[in-house]
Amino acid sequence: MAADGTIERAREGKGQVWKENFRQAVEVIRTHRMRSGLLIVGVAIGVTTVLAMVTVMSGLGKRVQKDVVSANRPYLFISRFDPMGGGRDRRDLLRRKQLSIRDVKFLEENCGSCERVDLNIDPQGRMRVLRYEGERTNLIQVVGSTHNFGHMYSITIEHGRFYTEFEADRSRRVIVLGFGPAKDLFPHRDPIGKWIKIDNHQYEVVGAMATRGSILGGISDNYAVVPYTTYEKDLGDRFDDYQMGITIKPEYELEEGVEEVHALLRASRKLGPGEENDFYITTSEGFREMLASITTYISLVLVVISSIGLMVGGIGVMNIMLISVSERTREVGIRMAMGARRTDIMQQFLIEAATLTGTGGLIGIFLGLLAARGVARLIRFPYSVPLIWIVVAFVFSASIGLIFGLYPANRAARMDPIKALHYE
Amino acid sequence: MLIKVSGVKKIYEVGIQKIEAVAGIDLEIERNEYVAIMGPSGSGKSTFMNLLGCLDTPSAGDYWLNGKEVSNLSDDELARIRNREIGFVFQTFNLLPRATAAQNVELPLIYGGIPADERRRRAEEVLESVGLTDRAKHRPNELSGGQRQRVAIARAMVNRPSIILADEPTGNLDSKTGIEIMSLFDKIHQAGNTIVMVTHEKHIAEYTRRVIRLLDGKIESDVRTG
Ligand SMILES: Nc1ncnc2c1ncn2[C@@H]1O[C@H](COP(=O)(O)OP(=O)(O)OP(=O)(O)O)[C@@H](O)[C@H]1O
Ligand SMILES: [Mg+2]
Repeated sequence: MAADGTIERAREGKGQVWKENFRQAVEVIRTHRMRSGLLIVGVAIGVTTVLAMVTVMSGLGKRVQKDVVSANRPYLFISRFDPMGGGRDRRDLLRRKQLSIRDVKFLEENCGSCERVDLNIDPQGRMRVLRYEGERTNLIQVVGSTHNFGHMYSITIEHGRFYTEFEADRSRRVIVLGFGPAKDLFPHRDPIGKWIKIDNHQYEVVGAMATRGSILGGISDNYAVVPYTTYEKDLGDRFDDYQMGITIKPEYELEEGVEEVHALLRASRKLGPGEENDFYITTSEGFREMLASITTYISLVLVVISSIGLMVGGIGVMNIMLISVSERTREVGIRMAMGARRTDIMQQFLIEAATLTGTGGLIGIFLGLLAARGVARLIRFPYSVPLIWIVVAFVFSASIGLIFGLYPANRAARMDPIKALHYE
Repeated sequence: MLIKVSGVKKIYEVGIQKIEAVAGIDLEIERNEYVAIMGPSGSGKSTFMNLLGCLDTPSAGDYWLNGKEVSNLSDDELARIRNREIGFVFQTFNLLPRATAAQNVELPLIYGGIPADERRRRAEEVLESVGLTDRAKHRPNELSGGQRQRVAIARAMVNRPSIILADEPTGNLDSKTGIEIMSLFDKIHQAGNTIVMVTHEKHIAEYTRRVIRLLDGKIESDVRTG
C-alpha cells in the first residue's frame, strides 16, 4: 500500500513540476514582452520563410509534373537530342535530320505497342499575333501538329472539336485556339466557325480549349494549334524543331514501348549498325523523376539556406536565456532551497527556451502558410498544406530552443544553492 | 533524536588558505526543541545552518536527520530532504518577486508533487495560521517586511517539515515587527514544531529554550533555558 502510494506520488509529482515550469515559462515571457517578442518575431520570420518556400516548392513541383507529365497514361517524347542534356555541341546536334511525318507513318504501321503517334512542330519560341475583326491577341506560339495532339497532351476542348486527320492530310487552314487567345479574340462570342487571321492567311476556328491553369510558358493556355501540314505551308521556318509524342498501349510496359520505338526509329531513319542514334527518347516516367529530383534538390537548398537564419535565431535564444538565468540566479537558489532538483531547474529553463522558439514557430507556420497561399493564388498552382512540414517546422523550432537553451539551462542547474541564494 | 551531528567540519579553501568555517561540532537536538544559535560575525553560524539544512554537505563528520545519515547524499536526495524535512526562513525573506503570497507558499508543494487543488487548500490553511488570508493574492512588493516574513514562515511550514531553520529572521525588521514574528515562532513551537534560529540579539534569543554559542566554528557554550 505505502509503496504504491509513493510511486503514485512520484509519478504525479513529475507532472506537477512540469506544469509549474510551463506556467512559469509563459509568465516569464509575458513579463519580458519586449525581448521575448523580438526573439519570437525572429524565429517566426525564419519559420515563415522556410515553410513558405517548402510549400511553394512542393506545390510548384506537383504543378510542373502535372503539366509536363500531363497525360494520364505513359508516353514517350522523342526529339533529336536530349532536351535536358548538355555536353555536346548544340550546333552539331541541330544538324541532325529532323523527325518527320514519314517516321510517324512508319511507326503507325509497324509499332505494336504504340497507341497513337503525334508529330508536332515547335516554333522554338517564335511568336505570332492572331486577329479577328478589331480584336488581337498578344504574341503567342502557333504550333503545328497531327490530329493526335489533343490526345497526347490531354487537352480538354471547351467549344467545338479538334481538327481531324482528314483535315491535316489536306493541309486545311483550321485552327484550335488555346484558352488565352480564345478569350482575347472572342470575349463574349462563340469562336467556332469564325475566321481569324495570322499574317495574311485566314484560318477557321474549329475548336477552343478549356483553361489548363498552367504556370508553364510553352504548353499553357497561350498558344494555338494548326495541322502540321498547314504549318509547313504557311508558317514554316528553318529554326522549327520537329518532335514526336507517342502513347503506349495500356497492355504494354513503358520499357517495351521504348525498346520497340527505338528499334523502329533506327530503321525508319536508316541508321546502320554501330551508327549513333540521331534521336533521343524521354519517357514520361523519366520526366517525372527528373522534375521530382530537381524540385527536391531546390527545396533542400532553400531549406538549408533558411535554416541558417534559424540558427542565428538560436544564438539569440542562447543570449536571452543566459540573461534570464543570470537575472534569476536568486530565484534558482530559492527553488533549490525549497526542494527543486537540478533536473527541475534544467527543465524549467529548457521549457522556457522551447516555449519562446515554439511560439515563434507556431506564428511562423501560420504566416508561412498564409504567404504560400498568396503565392499560390498569384501564380496559380494547387496549394496544399504540407502536413509533415508543419510538424517538422514546429518540432524544429522548439528543438532550436532546446538545443540553444541547453547551455544556459545547464548553467542554472549547476548553481550552488547557497551562492545563488545570496546573489545580489 | 531528531538531529545528531558529530565531528562536523566545513572547510573552505580560498587560494592556499584553508578556512575552517565549522571546525568540529557535536550536537544533538530533540524533537520540539527551540534553539537559538548565537555568536560573533564570522563564527560559522550561517555555514552550520546551511549544513543542517542540507544546502551544503560537510567536509568531515556525520549528520543524522530523523535517524537517517544525510552527510553523503546525492544532490537529488538532498533536494528531496530539503523539500520534505526542512523549512527555511531567511533574513532577506527570499520570496519569488513575481509570484503571489499563495504561489510562494505553494512552491515546496509543487516540488513535492502535490496536485494543484490540495496545494491551494494547504496554502490557504497555512496562510490563515500566519494571519495573512487577506493577502494571499498580493505580491511581495505589495507587502510590508513583517508580512513578507510571515509569508516566508508559512512557506517553511507548508510541507510540515521536521525542522524549521531560520537564519536571523528578524534581522531586516524593526524591533516591533521582530517581536510579532517571534511570537509567531512561539506559536509554531507550541504547536509541536522544532525550530533552530540564528540571532545576534539577546532579547530574540530569550524567546528560545536553548542557546548555543559559536566561536571560530566551535561550540563555545550550550545552555538550556526552559
Ligand atoms: N563560500 C565561502 N568561501 C570561503 N569562505 C567562506 C564562505 N562562506 C563563508 N566563509 C567564511 O566562513 C566563515 C563563517 O562564515 P558564516 O557566514 O558562517 O559566518 P556567520 O557566523 O554567519 O556570520 P554573520 O553573523 O556575519 O552572518 C567566515 O570567515 C566566512 O568568511
Ligand atoms: Mg550569517
